[in-house]
Amino acid sequence: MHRVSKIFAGAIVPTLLAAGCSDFLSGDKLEKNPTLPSTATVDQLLVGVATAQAVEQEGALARIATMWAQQFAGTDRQYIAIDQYDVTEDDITGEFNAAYAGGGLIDLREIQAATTGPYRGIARVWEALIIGTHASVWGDIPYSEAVSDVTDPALDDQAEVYARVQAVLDSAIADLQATGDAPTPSADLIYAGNTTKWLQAAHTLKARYYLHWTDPQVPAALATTACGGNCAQKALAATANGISASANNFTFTHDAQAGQENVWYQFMFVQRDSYIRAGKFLVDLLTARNDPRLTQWFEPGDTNIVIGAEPAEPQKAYHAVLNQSSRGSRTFDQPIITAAENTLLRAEAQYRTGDEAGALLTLNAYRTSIGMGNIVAAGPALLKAILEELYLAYFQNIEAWTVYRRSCYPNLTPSSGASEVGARLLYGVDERNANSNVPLPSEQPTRNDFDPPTTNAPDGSACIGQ
Amino acid sequence: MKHYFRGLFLGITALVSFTAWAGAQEGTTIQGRVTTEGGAPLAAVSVFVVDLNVGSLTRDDGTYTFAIPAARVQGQEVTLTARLIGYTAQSARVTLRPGTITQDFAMVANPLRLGEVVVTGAGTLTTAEKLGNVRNSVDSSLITKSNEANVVQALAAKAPNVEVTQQSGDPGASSYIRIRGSKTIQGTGQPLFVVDGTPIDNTTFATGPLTGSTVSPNRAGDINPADIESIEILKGSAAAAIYGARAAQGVVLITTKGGRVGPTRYSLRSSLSIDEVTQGPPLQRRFGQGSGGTAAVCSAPGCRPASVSYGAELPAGTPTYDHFNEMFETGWMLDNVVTASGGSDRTSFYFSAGRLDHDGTIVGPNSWYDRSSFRVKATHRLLDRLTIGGNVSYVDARGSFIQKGSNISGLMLGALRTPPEFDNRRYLDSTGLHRSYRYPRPTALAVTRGYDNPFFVVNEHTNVADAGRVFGNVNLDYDPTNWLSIRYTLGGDYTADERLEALPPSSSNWAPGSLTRGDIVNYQIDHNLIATGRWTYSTNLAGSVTLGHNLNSRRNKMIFVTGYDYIAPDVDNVDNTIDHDPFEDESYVHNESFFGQATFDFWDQLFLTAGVRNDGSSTFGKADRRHWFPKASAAWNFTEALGPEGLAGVVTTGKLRVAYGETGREPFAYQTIGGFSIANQTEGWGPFLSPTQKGGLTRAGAKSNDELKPERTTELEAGFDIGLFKEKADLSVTYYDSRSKDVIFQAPLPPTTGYTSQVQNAAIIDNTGWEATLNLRPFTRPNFAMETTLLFATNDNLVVDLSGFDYVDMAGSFTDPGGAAVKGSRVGVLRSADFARCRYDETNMVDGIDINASCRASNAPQGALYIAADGFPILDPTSRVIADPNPDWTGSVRTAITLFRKWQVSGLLDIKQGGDNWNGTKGALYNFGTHKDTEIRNTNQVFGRNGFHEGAVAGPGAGTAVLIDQDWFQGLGSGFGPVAAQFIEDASYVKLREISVAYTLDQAFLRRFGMSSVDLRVAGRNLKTWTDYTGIDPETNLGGAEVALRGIDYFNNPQTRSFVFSVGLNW
Repeated sequence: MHRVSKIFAGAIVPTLLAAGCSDFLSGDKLEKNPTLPSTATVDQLLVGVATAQAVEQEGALARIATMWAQQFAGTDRQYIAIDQYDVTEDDITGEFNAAYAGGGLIDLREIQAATTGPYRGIARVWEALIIGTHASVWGDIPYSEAVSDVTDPALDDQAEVYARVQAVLDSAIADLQATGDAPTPSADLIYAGNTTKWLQAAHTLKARYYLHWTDPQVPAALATTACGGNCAQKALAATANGISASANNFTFTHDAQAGQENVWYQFMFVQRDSYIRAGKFLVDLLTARNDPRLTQWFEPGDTNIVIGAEPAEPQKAYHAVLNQSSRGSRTFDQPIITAAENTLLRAEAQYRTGDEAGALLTLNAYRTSIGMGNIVAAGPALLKAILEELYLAYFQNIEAWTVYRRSCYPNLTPSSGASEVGARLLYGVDERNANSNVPLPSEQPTRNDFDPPTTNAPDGSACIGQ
Repeated sequence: MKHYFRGLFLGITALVSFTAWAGAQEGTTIQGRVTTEGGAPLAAVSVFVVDLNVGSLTRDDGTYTFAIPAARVQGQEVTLTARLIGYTAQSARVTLRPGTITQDFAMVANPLRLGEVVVTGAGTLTTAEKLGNVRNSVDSSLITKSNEANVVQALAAKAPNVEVTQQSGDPGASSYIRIRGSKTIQGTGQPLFVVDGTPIDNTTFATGPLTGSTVSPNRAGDINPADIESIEILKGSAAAAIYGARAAQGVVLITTKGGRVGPTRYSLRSSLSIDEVTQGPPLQRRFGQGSGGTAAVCSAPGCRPASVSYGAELPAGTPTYDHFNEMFETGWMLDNVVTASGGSDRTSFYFSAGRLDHDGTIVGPNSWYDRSSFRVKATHRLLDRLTIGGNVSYVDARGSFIQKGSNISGLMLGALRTPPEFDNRRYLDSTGLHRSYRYPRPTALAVTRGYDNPFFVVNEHTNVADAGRVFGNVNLDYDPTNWLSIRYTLGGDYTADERLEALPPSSSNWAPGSLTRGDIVNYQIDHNLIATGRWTYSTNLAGSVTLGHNLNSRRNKMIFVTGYDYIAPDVDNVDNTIDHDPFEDESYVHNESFFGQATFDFWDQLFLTAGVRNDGSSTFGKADRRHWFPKASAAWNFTEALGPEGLAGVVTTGKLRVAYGETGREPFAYQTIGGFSIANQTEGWGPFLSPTQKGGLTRAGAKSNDELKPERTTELEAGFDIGLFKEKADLSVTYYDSRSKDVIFQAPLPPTTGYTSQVQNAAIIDNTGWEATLNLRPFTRPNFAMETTLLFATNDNLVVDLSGFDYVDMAGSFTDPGGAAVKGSRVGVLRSADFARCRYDETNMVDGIDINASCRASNAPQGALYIAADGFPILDPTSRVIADPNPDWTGSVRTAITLFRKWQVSGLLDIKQGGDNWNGTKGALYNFGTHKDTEIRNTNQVFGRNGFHEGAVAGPGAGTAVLIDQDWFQGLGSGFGPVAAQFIEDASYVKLREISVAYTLDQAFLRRFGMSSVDLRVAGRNLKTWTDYTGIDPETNLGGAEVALRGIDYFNNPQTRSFVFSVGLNW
């Protein structure tokens, strides 16, 4: 009996002492998350940014933009509604957030604060690409107060955001030419640390954003704010140092591993096989041009010819999909800023600064490079020809829609039932819910400042969809 | 504080040692016999000397005997009390002296059970008459009658404001329980489950996405319901404050069966359920696959025809198929339990072994759930003042499930979208390739089928969860002196749960084939030490003091690997895949708590209780690691004041009670810490890219907050319990008012700040309600007795404040409609866009049109549908609250009739009034043209009339007939369009949960086989549901107990009903 009670005493005492003495509520596994990293290197963040922004630039925004530019058509379920310009604030909230949160501005600011020279320059080019894209889609956006201690960042005017983006690109160009830090080449998924290529991309981006303000209806004061005056002239100067060869294109690279596959491929062939198809407008345009890219880009449905869908037309078996051996491949490297863009922006800038001869030369040199013959054109017809090439060069790119919005090329007929082609997306609901500066959807503008309704298409005909 | 307690513990230890020497020489033996008033012996009556905490249970012949050691016999007068459920407790004063004392009792039946001992948590006990809050107990017979394999589901309609929702009819599916409304936004709102004094795990973990994947078991379902003696539900903070920061959603206290004095008893119970599926959604069989009225042509190998059924009208004689019912057959469940129990005056034991085999109603071999369980519970009085006990369960629970929900490899999604003339049954073509209506002539293996053929889903996918679990505790009861008792419990709960979800090549989710293999290991260790001192100053004043200490340690670890791209097509092994995506999660939580409680009994009719718990948790912010949770209650038993005749002869017994308490909910582990994310970068439509494969990290969306506190719920509860007409009826009415503040949620931050959220103590949620229980016993004769129980409850939930936010999204939500807590509304409402309507309380400009001006012109009522000039409604893109899944009130009616002593007939009706479901299935089937409603295609309809968007209309196009065609059903009228509001339906129901006829055979001839009785029962479960809901059974939810969000119906697997036959043999 003695023995028994001692056993119990022996069992209880250590337990109680353990409770009384040690600090039961603290310790490594209690106070440090075993599965979440608490620190990250700048190289890790740079990879994170490139990954997040690939989803942003190749994902839903690109699909909506190119559907509305009628390169594609929404053919099933929610994409039918989207192709009728019914996009709710919930639909694009993730896309709105991606510019700022993890993989966006917050990580870039951390890199910029921790690095100098080329590394900081690279982070600044990224910032310009992200914010420039954002301002083109949403217009007035938080920027000067974004990613700071301000809890409700104010909306900056679209033109002011563009002015800041140009300034960021200027700083980037200076950084890229200075001495200082450089990323580990493997951490720079775009150019492997090649500063020459980054410099060229920065210049092409400058040209792109200057030319965003050439819509003939844009008030001069706004264009002056956005470009510091004389947008076309500045764009022309920038293209001189822009991307010089397609080997220097800014592309998101992909491979066949799950997690690295092209986003268009994932959407069209894995996740949402019936939601989008080739757009009738683009297919008809390529067919009329006898453009070899028709079958490079698309493969026919259940017929032998490439047939596009009307906007919001329910999917038919004969509607064409992306060609799975090129643009629709899981390993296709998606171009975002290209030499072709630089050349065509140069042609447009030449035209807009009065150098029609130079513009025609630049255009024809480009056409030759893609296997199309020379053309002879002048005046508005020349501008239309340049914008047509630009629109095609921006295949699958958000910029295709921006070309339309600023020029009314192509002169699109809106999706049935609508009087205007969608010209702006609603702010994401996450931002609208949490930021008192963001108005209700019903009080948001339907067009952005750089895109007043265009009266006439480049060829002089009345603009149908604006 | 710590030093003080350590001192106390050392003192206790010393007492243990000291008393070991104080051996007994000659004590007192108390014996006697307990009978009914009529003289029939009563077994299992507890006869106890409360002052000394010693006693025994009576044997079958009603006799009892127990000894009191000499050391405790000092010639004092003590109270000997006999208690049995259903009888008024009887007491006698006896003077203890060496030798034998004989004391008999004749018990008087009393259905009010006021004298019953009630477990009040953390080791504390009281009796029903002293309880300051409403009591909700469920005994074993009610659990048996429910015919449910899952103890949580068995609680449906058993107590007011205990809402239970079964996820679906899949075997092993989780059941969700919510007590007195949602008090949290972030958690699942499930109560704490405690078995025999030790908390157990009741998490539900889905292997895949919350809106897809398969059903998952909730871990409390591991308990064999046959092992349960009784359940006490501590509903609100007033009752549950003794559990502090883990009890805000209430506590379910389960007491398991134990052995009792007498010969060893054996029982064998077998029950067989025959299951069939209940209602399905209506489908059309007139129009075939195709689009624009043109039949789809798909003759070339590899062709991909239109996915919708807007083709030509099918020629007469075309075979069509019932795509819902062809997926189901009769299921069955066989439940066998053997028990052995018994005991002597020093020892008791209970042993059970159970085996449940449940084969579901979904066709094919892969919908089943099996559970094998063993349980032992034993006590032994080692020394006169020292009893040791222990109980342990081992459970092996294995299930196989079917893909469901928003999932292109899901069962209902593929089945219901199939055009009526497509024969799904032949799911493999002649070469063995998977064929589906969207890929009817397959030419390749590893390409998407559009949607999986549902017969492929049920035959070729593998989704299994195999769990092994051990839980139980060892305990020690020690009474060092006559007035002090000490109880120590050391409990453990360990589960290893192995998951496999294998969707082989040609599964549309991932055409090259993918599989997820996962291990989830959960353990919990709980130490609970309490000391209770009791004192009696006089017959008019008595009381007790309890002090306790609790340590709790929990760990959750899971390792998952998803393999993509099968190498060999038929080997479900990660090594057989090309790409691997691992996932690992681990969390540790420690709690350390002290608690104390004091009770005072005045004149044996006024009972006061006050208590406090101090909780420390590793999950609390570093700024404040400890928090206090007080409680107090009073009960006044005014029966004596009523006098012998009662109040006007109507109210014959009565009690008034009022209680106040505070409880909390801990933050999740590590929520106070920020960091970097290793998650994939995704977009809303499925595509994703992995940063980590290239060595990347991104800043986590959640900002850190090291000042996080527990959520705190304060509750005031008041009510009365009265017996009427000399116990022919009794009524219990309770009102409660609770406020939960510091409610934690991921407060959305403007993403332009760089963070999407920060976990904050930022919300206030109120829950107030009424609960009433009325028991009627109009006939109580042995040959004809009838008891009817009516339950009624309301709960008004209100999100009072969200710190400036309009709403907060909740887990398990679709993007559209989104589930959220919305300020000024309730927790868990659904948000989406609606059509433009007359909304006079808003500015109401839509697309530049002043809707209200148009509405006023036609005097249209609030909510009237705005019809544009073309005769169609238009989209109002503002997201707003479109549905409230919370019921207006709930109730139930239970009746049990006993005939000729041996027949028992009983039934239970469960009523849920109000509460919406989003019939997303219907919305999607509109788009696909397979829903019955789409038969009106290509006819002219007027919005607002003839059942077509019935209701008031306004606007320039009101009354205009328009052509309703495929464009409408795939545009604004589609479930994939932006207007989810049109698919919200009232999901009220009245459900015949249970009905049974039982007969007890106890004739003498049974003794020849050594048997005492045989119980026979025929029963029905969920036989009938009355509802206006047009989908599957309205008791459904896409996410089960793994999410708090209710009311989501999107290709959910349907519910079942059962016919049950059961035989119980007792020796």
